[in-house]
This record gives sequence, structure tokens and C-alpha cells, in this order.
Amino acid sequence: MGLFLETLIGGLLAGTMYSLVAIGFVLIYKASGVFNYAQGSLLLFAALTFVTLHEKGLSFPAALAATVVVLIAAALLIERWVLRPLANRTQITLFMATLGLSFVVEGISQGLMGAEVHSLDLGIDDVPVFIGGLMFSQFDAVAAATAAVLVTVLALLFNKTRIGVSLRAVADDTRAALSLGINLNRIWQIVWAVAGVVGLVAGMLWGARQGVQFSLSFVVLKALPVLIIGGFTSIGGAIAGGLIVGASETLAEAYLGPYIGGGITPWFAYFLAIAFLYVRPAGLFGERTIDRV
Amino acid sequence: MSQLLAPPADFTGLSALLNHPAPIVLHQRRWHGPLVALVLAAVLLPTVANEYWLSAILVPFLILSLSGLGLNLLTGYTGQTSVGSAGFMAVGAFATYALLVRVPVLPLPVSILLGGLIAAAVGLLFGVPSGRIKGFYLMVTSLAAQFFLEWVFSKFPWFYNYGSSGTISTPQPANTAWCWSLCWH
Repeated sequence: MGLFLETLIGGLLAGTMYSLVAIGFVLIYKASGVFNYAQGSLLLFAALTFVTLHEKGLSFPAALAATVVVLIAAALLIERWVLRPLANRTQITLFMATLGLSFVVEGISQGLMGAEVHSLDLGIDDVPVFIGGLMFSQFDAVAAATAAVLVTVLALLFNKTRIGVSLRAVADDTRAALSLGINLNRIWQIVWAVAGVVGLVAGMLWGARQGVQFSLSFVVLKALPVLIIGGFTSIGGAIAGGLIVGASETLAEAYLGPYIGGGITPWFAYFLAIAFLYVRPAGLFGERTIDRV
Repeated sequence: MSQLLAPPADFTGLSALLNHPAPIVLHQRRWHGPLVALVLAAVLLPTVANEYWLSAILVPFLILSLSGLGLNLLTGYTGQTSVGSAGFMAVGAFATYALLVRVPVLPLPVSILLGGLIAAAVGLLFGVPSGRIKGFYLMVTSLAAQFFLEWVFSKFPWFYNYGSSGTISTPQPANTAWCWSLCWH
């Protein structure tokens, strides 16, 4: 029982890292209906920019602030050069555009900042902590706390500020929002910038765990089952989906893995997501707008 | 833009004036261009291309075009987003390899054909959820295929014939100018 609980808690904590990545997707999908394949590349770009600036001698807060400025600039450029020319196109067109964008962002990040692996020390030791006889990772706990803070901040942003309310209006009914005079382009700029900052937080945590390197952009692929399970349009769903994916793949690896050769975490989440698709095609919290064949 | 502004030739009325009724052409396929290209590629290329051009540009170009054709069927015609088509490429390659190694009596073209059929069967299996859902949601199916197949081919040594490198390669068929390699990775 102790082992089961430890595995479960470890999985749940690791799952919050997936949630962080998925939240960046949800933000953009809600506001513009764009499935942003480039979120992983943005995450890599954000983490790489931060690490490079930090290594160049900027202090931690200064590097953080500078990276946020860079991400806002990137959001403005993406909105101007990618989204605005493609406004009103089909979802698949925009998806393809973000697929191309992901290669551009990856190319630019590696061209400017190199392809070597950077280590990132956030000052959190990855040591086991014992609480009530159960062992779990201190780093995972801090990551989970960060995710909780981030979600709280986002919830405040969406519910208490004028920007947030107009953002929800756009997500709810784009035409109605437009007719009320909400500047859609501005909303896209803001939402891509916020998604970039969420990517920065996620990238820093993932980067501290496995080094800031090219493979960071692949965590985007793990966010997809999270989105399927939680729904594309719900931040709460992204959290729940991340927790479910994290917990179930850790449990599956521990209890199912030994019977079929182990190392099943790379694919388990996708099969779980397919199973979820059969039961709840719109995800746990998503809107029921899925196209049926 | 200027092409859009100028009226198409058929609407100028010029052909009617000259008493030449415009020929009605319903999507006539022009085969000459592709045919010439095919002949050039089959006859001319092997005589002029060197090893670098074949192995670094032309053969990868053909391989990528073929996988692009498969993706076009899936995404282009049916609108199903796939980001894991390479997994099915791997099935075809590994299946052909397994046939070559374990059923040596089969000639190479038969092995390749059977390998394609096996890949199709695996694709059918992973295509089952597409009966219920489509669009972005199907991307997860393609990723499931991609990562699961990758795991299968690296986890079970049977597939790479217990080699130490974990990759497969077949000897090049003799007397062919075109390079055929099943080398994966």
C-alpha cells in the first residue's frame, strides 16, 4: 500500500508538469481555435533564452524579465506574420502554419543560442522528502506548487481583469465579441504572450529536470493526450488531464510494465487517451463540439 | 492578382466571334510531363547521377515523397491529422526485413509487397478509432501508433534479428543503379 501511494503521488506530481505544458495549448485554442503545434518549440525557445541570458551574467530576476520581454515580442511577431494573414482560414490551415512555425522557432533558437545541453539550476534540490512515512520528490512538489500558483494567477487574470473578460468573450463567441468592438488581434497577441510565459515556466521546470535541450520541444507531444483527456478548452481540464496522465502512466509502468517488457511510459498515455475518446469524446471538461464522422 | 482581374479566355466571346466553338475539355489529364520526367528519372538519372546525389538527395527525395503520398491520403483527402506516419513506414521496413530474413525463398519484390500489406493491416488497426472521431483528436491515435511501434521495434530483439545495434540493414541488391536500403535511423 505504501508503494502504491508513493507511486501514485509521484505520478500526480509529475503530472502537473504535463498540465503546465497543456495550459499553454488551452489558452491559445480557447482564444483562437488554433491547435498550436509550436507550443513545444516556444517552450524550448523560452527556456533556452532564459538559460542563455542567465549564463551571460544576468541575474535570475533580470534574465526572467528579459525573457518575458522577448516572449511578448515573439507573440507580437507571430500574430502579425502568421495569424493575421491566415485569419478566417480553416483549423487545419492554421495548424499547418503552427507546424511550420515550430520548425522556424526551433531553427531560430538553435541558430542563435546553439544546440548544446544547458543545465539549469533553480536552487531546488531533487531530494526525496518524507511526509507521514511516504517518500516523494521535493522537486516535483515545488513544480506542483508552481503550477498551482500559475493557475491561480491565470484564473485571476481571466476573471478579474478587463483583458481576461474580453478574452473569455472571444472564446465564447468570436463574432459577438468582434461586434462589441473587442480587438481580436490584440487578444491574440496577449494570449500568445501569456502562452509563451506559461511555456517559460513549464520550460524552466522541465529544463531543470532534464537539461535545457532540443528534446524539450517534444513534451508538446505528451501534452496532447492530456488535452484529449481534459478537453481542449478547459484549464481545469488540462490540470485534471495532466494529473490523470501522470498518475496512470507511473502506475502502469510500475504494475503493468514488468509483464510486457517495461519502458511503456512513452506510449501509455496515448492509448489511455484513445480509451477516453471512446467514452468521452470531448474530454472531461471540454465543450461538446467534436465532429463525428 | 493580374491573372484574376483579366477575364478567362473563354468568356471574352472571341472564340464565338471567330466561329470557333471553344472545345469542351473536362479535366483532361496531361500525362506527357510526368511521363517524360519518369523516363528521364529511370533512364537518364542513373547514368549521370553520382553516389552523393543518389544517396543524399534523390533517394531520400523519393522516400519522403512516398511518405508524403501516404500522408496526403490521410490528411489531404480525409482531413485526419497525422503526425505519426513514420511509424507505419517503420512497420513496412521491419516487416519486409523480417520476411527477407525469415522467409528467404520469397523474392525481394514479393517481400516488399507483403511488407506493404502488413503495414496496411497495422494501419487498419490504428485506424479503428477514426470511425468515431476525426480532426485533431485523431492526432493522438497517430502518436499512439508512432510511440508504440517505436517501442515494439526497439524492445523486442526479434524484430531487428537480435543484432547488437538495434537497427536493420539489408545487403544492396546487385545490378541496380538505384540504391535500396532498409536502413532505419
